[in-house]
Amino acid sequence: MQVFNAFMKVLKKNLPTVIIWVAIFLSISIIVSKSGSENSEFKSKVLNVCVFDEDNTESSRAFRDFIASKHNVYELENDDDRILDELFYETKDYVITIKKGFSENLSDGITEGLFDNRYVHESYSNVLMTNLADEYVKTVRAFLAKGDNLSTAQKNAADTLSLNVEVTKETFKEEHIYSDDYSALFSAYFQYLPYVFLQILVSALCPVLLTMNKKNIRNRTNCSSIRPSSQTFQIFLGSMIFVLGLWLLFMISGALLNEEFYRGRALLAVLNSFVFILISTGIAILIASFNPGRVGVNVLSNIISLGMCFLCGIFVPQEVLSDSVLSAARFLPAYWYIRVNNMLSGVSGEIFSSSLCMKFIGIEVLFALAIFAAALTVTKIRHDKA
Amino acid sequence: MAETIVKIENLVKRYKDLIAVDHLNLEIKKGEVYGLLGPNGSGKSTTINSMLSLLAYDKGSIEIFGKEMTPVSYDIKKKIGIIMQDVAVFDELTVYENIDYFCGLYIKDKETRKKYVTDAVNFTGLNDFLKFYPKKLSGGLLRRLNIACGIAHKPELIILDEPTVAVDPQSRNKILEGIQELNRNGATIIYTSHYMEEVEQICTRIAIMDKGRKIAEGTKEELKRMIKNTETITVETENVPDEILSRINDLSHVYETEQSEGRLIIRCGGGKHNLIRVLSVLQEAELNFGRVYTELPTLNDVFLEITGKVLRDREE
Repeated sequence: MQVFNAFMKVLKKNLPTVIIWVAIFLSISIIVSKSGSENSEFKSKVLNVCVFDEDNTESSRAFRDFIASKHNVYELENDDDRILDELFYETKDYVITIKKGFSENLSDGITEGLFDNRYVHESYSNVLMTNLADEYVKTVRAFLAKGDNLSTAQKNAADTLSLNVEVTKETFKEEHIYSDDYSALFSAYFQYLPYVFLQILVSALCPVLLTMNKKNIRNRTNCSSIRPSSQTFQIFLGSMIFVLGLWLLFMISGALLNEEFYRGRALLAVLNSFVFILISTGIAILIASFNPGRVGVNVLSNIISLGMCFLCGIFVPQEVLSDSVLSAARFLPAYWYIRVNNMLSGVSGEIFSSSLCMKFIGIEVLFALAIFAAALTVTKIRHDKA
Repeated sequence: MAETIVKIENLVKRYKDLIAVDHLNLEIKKGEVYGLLGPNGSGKSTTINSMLSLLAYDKGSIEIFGKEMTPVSYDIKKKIGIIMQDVAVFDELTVYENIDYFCGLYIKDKETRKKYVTDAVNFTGLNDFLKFYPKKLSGGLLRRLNIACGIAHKPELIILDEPTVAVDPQSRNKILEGIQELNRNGATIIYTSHYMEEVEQICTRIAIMDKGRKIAEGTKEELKRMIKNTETITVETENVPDEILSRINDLSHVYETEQSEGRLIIRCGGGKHNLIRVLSVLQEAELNFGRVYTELPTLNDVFLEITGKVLRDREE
């Protein structure tokens, strides 16, 4: 197994490239999974509000208490400079002045001109507090219209606006589209795998194959007593061990990151990724067969991986790509990979069908076979020419 | 009679309209250091590549160790060591790993291989560079590594295709000494070069090739005897009058004189004391002259006389 051993030693020299790519991808995945795993909670925002009560009636005090039940109310010296400073340094979010005659006007059903407001423009606190005051006034007016007196109307309005409704957030689910087996995290993880596979295999496997197939070394090896078939087999074996190892690493990492093992639809995603890593291997072998040199490999790895990812919906969802782009993308294997991934996760709204999934994966297998055949043909032609 | 190791009969190799090897016949005996001498493009490397089945040839037959050589003649390949013109080693492996790799293509047993690799390292003097990567080696050391990779499995037939190209004189001498030692240890050597001095120095028999054909073959003495020239006398002097030139030309055994760039070149074919006779003529004519030197014929003279052109490449 001399050739195999040499292959592994040469591969070892290229491992830093692999480690960098794996580290980058897994780091990003960890960040995404951590941020995604936190439950989405919505909390009402509490503002720092300063209230000046010029009316100083029972009614205005009731309004002040209502604000205090929702936000932090502060006393402040009624000085313009001081107020502006507080707003500027954002120690106070909103300053509201209950104008004289508030009680009278409110009981008369007047809703305009009851307050003076000061706030920082383009601040969401403006909207929040203004809405709250408007809502309060309108609700009081409604209760007044119902026949309540002002103090009862204010009390009822405050009670009504204090009611909390428990909201349960649920994603719209349709049984045939979504599955618990294949979470959004899994989907996102598998979405970007083609890019990483292509980058790693083209930038790490290609240089090894280039070295092993260097004309001088190949000639010297061909002069020895080792059979070419054995030589090719050992290189193939080395490549496959590397590819399988890489694939397993990503599959195990995926399961660990998502804190669950693959089952149900996720197994189809695993199969999908396996077929795609074979495609990536074929592409790496095909590139190496043209003997483009190290610089050429770097250029081609970027063109192929980025090109395929942008055209096929890995970086940009397929839903937003134009029809003409998608028509062209059909001739690239990553398109079918993403079709499967989208169907498994349900993000595209396409109804899940295992037979359709297998059909798409079958198309990927055909791509893999075609690419391997092309690589072998190019290699043979080049060897015959040499 | 020594055993025939390589027998090539009527070998023809064409590249479209170009005939790279033209009906070549060679027979190399055991224990020989056989030199293939010729300018670039004369068909030396094509012959070697055909011998090794790296190239398919159009016509003829090649037998090595008494058996027909084919791409699947693994039993023959086992006994051959090849040192190519271009260095063929892995940049990613150390000196030791490279030798071990190429030795391992022939020798499966680890213990034997270890011993063979050590022998090759000692032989090429790479002991201090075992953990070096090829890119860290000088040109001479790299060539020595190339040789170590080719001979580590102790082959019976070693083919060296221009192994000293772009090597400094010191390393070149070391390589040539090494080749002679390999031959003394029992290996048959085929050595291709366009450096005639090297071929003269180490080869016991030489074939001169040009345009794919073998134009002469024999020991260096036999080859030199094939030509008229036995001695070339060079006199550093300016404008020798025609009368004196004519007197020199009339000397017995002088068959050609030539004046160029302040030198008078006199070529003699046979005879003794040619230099004394030439100097006598010059002294009688009271001609001023500087250095005088005499040279025995070289393989270049052989090549020149047979083909009408010099063997050396212009850039050399």
